[in-house]
Amino acid sequence: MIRLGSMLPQAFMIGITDLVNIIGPEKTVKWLIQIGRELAETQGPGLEGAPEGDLNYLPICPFSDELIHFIDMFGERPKEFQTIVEYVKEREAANTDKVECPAVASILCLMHHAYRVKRAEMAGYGTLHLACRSVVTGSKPAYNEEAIAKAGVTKEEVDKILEKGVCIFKFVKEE
Amino acid sequence: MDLKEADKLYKNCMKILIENQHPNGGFYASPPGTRYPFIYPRDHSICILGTISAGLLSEAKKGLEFMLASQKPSGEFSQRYDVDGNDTSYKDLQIDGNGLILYALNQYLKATGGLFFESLADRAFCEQYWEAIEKAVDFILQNKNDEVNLIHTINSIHEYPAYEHGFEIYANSTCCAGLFGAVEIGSALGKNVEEWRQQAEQVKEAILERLYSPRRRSFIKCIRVKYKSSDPIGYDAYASSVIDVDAVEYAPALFGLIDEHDLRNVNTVKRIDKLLWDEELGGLNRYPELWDRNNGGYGPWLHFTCQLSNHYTAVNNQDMAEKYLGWVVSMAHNYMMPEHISTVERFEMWLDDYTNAKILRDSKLTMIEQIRAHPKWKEGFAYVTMPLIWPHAEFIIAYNNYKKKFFSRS
Repeated sequence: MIRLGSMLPQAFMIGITDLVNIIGPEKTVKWLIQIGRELAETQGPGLEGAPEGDLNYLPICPFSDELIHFIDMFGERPKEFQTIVEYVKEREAANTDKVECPAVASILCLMHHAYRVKRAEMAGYGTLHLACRSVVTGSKPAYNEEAIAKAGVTKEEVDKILEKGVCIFKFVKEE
Repeated sequence: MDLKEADKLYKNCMKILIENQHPNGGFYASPPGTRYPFIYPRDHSICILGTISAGLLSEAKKGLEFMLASQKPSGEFSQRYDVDGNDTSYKDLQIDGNGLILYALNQYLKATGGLFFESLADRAFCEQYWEAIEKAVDFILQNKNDEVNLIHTINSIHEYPAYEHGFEIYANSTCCAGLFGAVEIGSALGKNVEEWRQQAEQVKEAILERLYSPRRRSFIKCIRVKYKSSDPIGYDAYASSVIDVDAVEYAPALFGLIDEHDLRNVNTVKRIDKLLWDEELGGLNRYPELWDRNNGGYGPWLHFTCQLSNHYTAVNNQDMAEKYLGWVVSMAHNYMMPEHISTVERFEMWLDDYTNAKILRDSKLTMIEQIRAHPKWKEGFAYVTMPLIWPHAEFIIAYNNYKKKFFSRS
């Protein structure tokens, strides 16, 4: 049951599915990224996550509860979510600079990553998004192999952190 | 109290404060390589107050510069920062930081002026950061509920929303004291701060009225309310009161909003002492054991013990002031202080509870190893997070107050 007090996050996700049908995945992705950036501007410079050696990670996904709640209400992940993820994968496949791409496990990773990158950028850091594990049952982790290589770690090391976290990234001080 | 030992502790506290200030100005909550190698505005502000009390005004200024330059665009000060002033917070709003920084800044201004305030006070510094001061005040006032005139927060001093989400007494006392501090700074700079003064008076009145329970004859911890703008708050999903004793119910007097001798404060302190003084270990616990949230085991906190000693000093009760400060001196190890102290038995109980409940995070494992490796473990004590910088600053403040009161020749 939707409680009125917690309706907005669910309304936002319904809005995303509608938007994919109205304006298509490309513009929806741009819109999600723009939201992340705009929110970052309001918060100023910042570096997310718990340090683990040279990497940072998030122990839990800040959106997992709402995402699971949404799927509980509407059944399987909406096809529009899949459309976005597939679009992003295709776009990344054609991207020559994959290092900068997010490791997308769910559509909300796009907004979140844009937010994280923008805040790090304001602090004078670049961001490598190494891996992300969706909280949705059965989903496989998403990796950015190029980012992992550039970060100077192995996939095994990343997997080790994924056992206790959901999202792994590295901040690189810009010269 | 062993005054020689107290003096040695005092000197080492100053050394520790200085050593744990990064060249950029931030005070580490605990030294690099230990549990909290970040700058937390709350701890940091108390360190600034400690340096002011110790006469280390250039260190205080550097600390204020660090924090004022790290303010978020909204006017908020984040939960924590790295040494470069980047927001590295992982917890929600802790608005007491805004109040504490404004309060500390005003204390700095007054200290630089001393007896010759008009000619010596560092007005230029405050003028330089006036925009940050305005934004910090605005942020506090944005979180004020106009129905009850109290400041809303999610976390406060214990970072524990279960008991602090709503109108919490420490957050309200620090924010109110910060507003009054901003009013004093503004007045010194010739600014029009009348609106701020009125707002500060409203918050103060609300603290004394709504966060005080006449039947219990004590301040209370919190009016729990989920949303800042719930109107009326009686219909808010969380609407309830937290009436458990908490050491920070002394905050209205600690931050000068009520006289130390006021019976509302005196009776509040009596309740805190009666219910939170640890009969087994001595020292003051921060809240009741049944809240079951003391990493490393339930036990007394040195900085809250120092804080409450200020009351006994202020009301000329030397025996009690000695009891409190003497305990702190006796528990310091190598003239350093931990966050809190527990017993081996309580530590094991906590570990058991958290393991069973599956809420023992990885990050706690290092803390557990350090507790067991500490020399005091063999004496039956669990020293948790050693050293924590905050109590060193509190001891400086409390011991200076004590000496000034009881040993001053004038």
